[in-house]
Amino acid sequence: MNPTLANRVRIAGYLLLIPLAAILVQLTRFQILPTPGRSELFSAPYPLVRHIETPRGLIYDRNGNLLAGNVTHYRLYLDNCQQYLWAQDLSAAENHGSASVSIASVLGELGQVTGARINISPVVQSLQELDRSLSGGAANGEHLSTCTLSSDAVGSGDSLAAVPLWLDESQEAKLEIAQGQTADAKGEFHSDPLLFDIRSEAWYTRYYPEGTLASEVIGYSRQSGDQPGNADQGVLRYYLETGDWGVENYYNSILQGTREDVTWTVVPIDITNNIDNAQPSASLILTIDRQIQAATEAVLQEGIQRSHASRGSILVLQPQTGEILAMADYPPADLNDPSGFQAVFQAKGRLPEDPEGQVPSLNTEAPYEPGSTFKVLTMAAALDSGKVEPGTTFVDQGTLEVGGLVIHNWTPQVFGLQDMTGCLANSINTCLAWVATQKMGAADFYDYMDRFWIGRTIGVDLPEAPGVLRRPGDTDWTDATLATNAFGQGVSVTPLHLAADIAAVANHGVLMVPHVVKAIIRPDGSVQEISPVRIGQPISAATAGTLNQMLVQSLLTEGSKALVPGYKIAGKTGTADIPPYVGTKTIASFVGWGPADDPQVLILIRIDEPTSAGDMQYGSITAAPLFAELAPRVFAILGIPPDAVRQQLAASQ
Amino acid sequence: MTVPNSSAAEAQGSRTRAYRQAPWRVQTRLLAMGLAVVLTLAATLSLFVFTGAQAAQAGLQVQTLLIERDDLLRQINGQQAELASRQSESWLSARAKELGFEPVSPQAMGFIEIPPAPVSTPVYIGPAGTLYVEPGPALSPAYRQTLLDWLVSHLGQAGSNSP
Repeated sequence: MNPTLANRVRIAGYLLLIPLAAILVQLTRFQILPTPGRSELFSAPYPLVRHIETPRGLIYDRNGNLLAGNVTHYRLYLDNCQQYLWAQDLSAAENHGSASVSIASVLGELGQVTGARINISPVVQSLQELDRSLSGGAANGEHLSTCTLSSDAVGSGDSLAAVPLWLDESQEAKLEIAQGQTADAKGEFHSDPLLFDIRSEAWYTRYYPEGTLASEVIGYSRQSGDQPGNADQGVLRYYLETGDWGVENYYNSILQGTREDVTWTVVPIDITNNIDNAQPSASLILTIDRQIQAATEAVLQEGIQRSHASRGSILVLQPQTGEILAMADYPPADLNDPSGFQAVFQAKGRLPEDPEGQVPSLNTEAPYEPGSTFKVLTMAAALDSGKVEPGTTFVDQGTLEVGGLVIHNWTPQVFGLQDMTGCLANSINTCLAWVATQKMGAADFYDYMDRFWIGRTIGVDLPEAPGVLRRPGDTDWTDATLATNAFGQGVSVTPLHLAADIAAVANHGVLMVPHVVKAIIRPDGSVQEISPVRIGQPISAATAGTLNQMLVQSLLTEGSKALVPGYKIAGKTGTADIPPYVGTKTIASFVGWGPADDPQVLILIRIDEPTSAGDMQYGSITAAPLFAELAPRVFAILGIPPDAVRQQLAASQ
Repeated sequence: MTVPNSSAAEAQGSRTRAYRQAPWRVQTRLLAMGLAVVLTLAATLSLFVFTGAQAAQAGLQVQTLLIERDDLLRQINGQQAELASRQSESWLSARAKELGFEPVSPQAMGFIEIPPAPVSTPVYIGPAGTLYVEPGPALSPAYRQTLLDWLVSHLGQAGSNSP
């Protein structure tokens, strides 16, 4: 080879060696002298199984007060579970004299450090049972590698069921200090060897800052692992959020966040996919006004206690929009204490015909025979169909026989000659039965009942039960059914449905869908307002105006205890017998609205089974005074001045 | 020097060479070509290694940031709940009573006309959209495509642009 060529080859060789050297240098730097970022990469668990959650949507009242939020609770796991679970057996087998740390010691230490109450013996027993059942008794079978810790185990033998152990924030902080993850108050680090293998995992759980307030409306979301989930080594993990009742139930699909366990690689594209799956939830703004709700609940509780009633409910709604300002029932449920729910539901759902009945909401899920408050709808139908006028007269004789059934009034008193306003003022059953059977007839009456959607659900955005309305052609319908329906017996509606229907009388005959959600806050922060929805116009505006005046007059004539000084009020009392119509138990009620010339608020009060002492079984004695207590508070909160002030202000403008 | 025309070049190509390259020249050339291929492969592989390492490092940072984000989100939720419980109706009522306040009777209230005033609108601290990565536009296709995807998409584009 000539020298020139040799030089060229050498130069080419050097040139080729440069990138090779560069690669070697880079590999050396990468492996031996890593940057801090790459050092983390070496120690990062790979792949990382991570529990990801997006929090459940928040629930606010109409003024932005939080009614339902989220807090973090921690679930605990014990890694390397086998060595703790069978510590005594392992010690005996190895025969080294010193006992290994048992799971009972770990749980005892955990309870002492965090203050969590752990029933150690059943918990250990349940975990050992679980491990045995997983392995099938075979040494080489599948065993628990990680134990999910529980606070207790209930049942016996093979049917031991674990009660989940959850730590709150403060307990978790104590655990972190004991494990040496964070310093204590003095800045010192500790390391408790018994707690070395304990690992915690954060989960969102629902928290209701107002406790019992508006519990009927808000409902409850089970997020703490007390609903079925997926099995993982024999231990249930819970990925479902289920709203039990209220808006938590009705709007569950948009409120619920994402909760899943994902395998995270460190490849960015895969992480992004995980993020994409974790869709955030929407939040809700309710029509409920917290102040009005609190006032309503206070008045309801007072009324229930005063009348020794078993339960009751109050609804406050805006007739023009159908917005529910307050919805309360009694007894209320403490939303932060699920253990009390069953007793509350039983108290609200127990009926003579169904002693074991359970109802989460009296206002939307417990139809009842409304009694005389229903007469408002009967009179609305009769006036609108032109079959009667306010001046139409009826001579009451105390009883009226229809279809073989003798109809009585609420009192033995005979009212004699009455016009229609008098019939309402004295709540004369025979008069309304006469109007329905003699003046209107079944076809007209039930046509108007259909216009008011009686016998169907009204469409509120809450779990709702329809009432019952028997019609001509039904096997159990007779002429007497029409007569009793006219004064609100033999027909059932929910308080909310009845309130919405009667609100049409206060709203120029226009029936609005009652609703409890005012707006939805989308995940991107935009607010979607919910517009009021009009169902129809069952009666004309003229009829509504006439009936409005009749009901104002009837309260004045009666000298009702519902009258509010300074405000003109329209309303109607009700006293209904409870099926099977034996004994003296009644449902006392009152529906009223005001100011009568510009109705802003309608209130329906229902008190179940009040004492008969002092005539408290009647709506006029028990429910009407509650209206007089509540209405002025609501007017004050909403800034509705007395009629005289309002007229004075209007005149000055 | 004259440039052969095409028929002359064809005739020349069919001729047998009068000499052969020395074997060491052929071997050297082959060795150089082989080394070049090996080094190209090594360079490509090292590029993959470094890019992969950078991607993994970025992925780890993303993980860390997401964990941090989740922790912050938990703190925000917890503090919102705590704040709400300290402003709850029952807490405020009890506090007001402690301070000697009493609920006013509606009958005792006076109403005065005031000129129109700006109505305060409630502030809702809803979920912050920036906490979440919107699916789709978060990453450019360059970070999602494989080389084959990129090639196919470009060929497709070229095909669609051609007349």
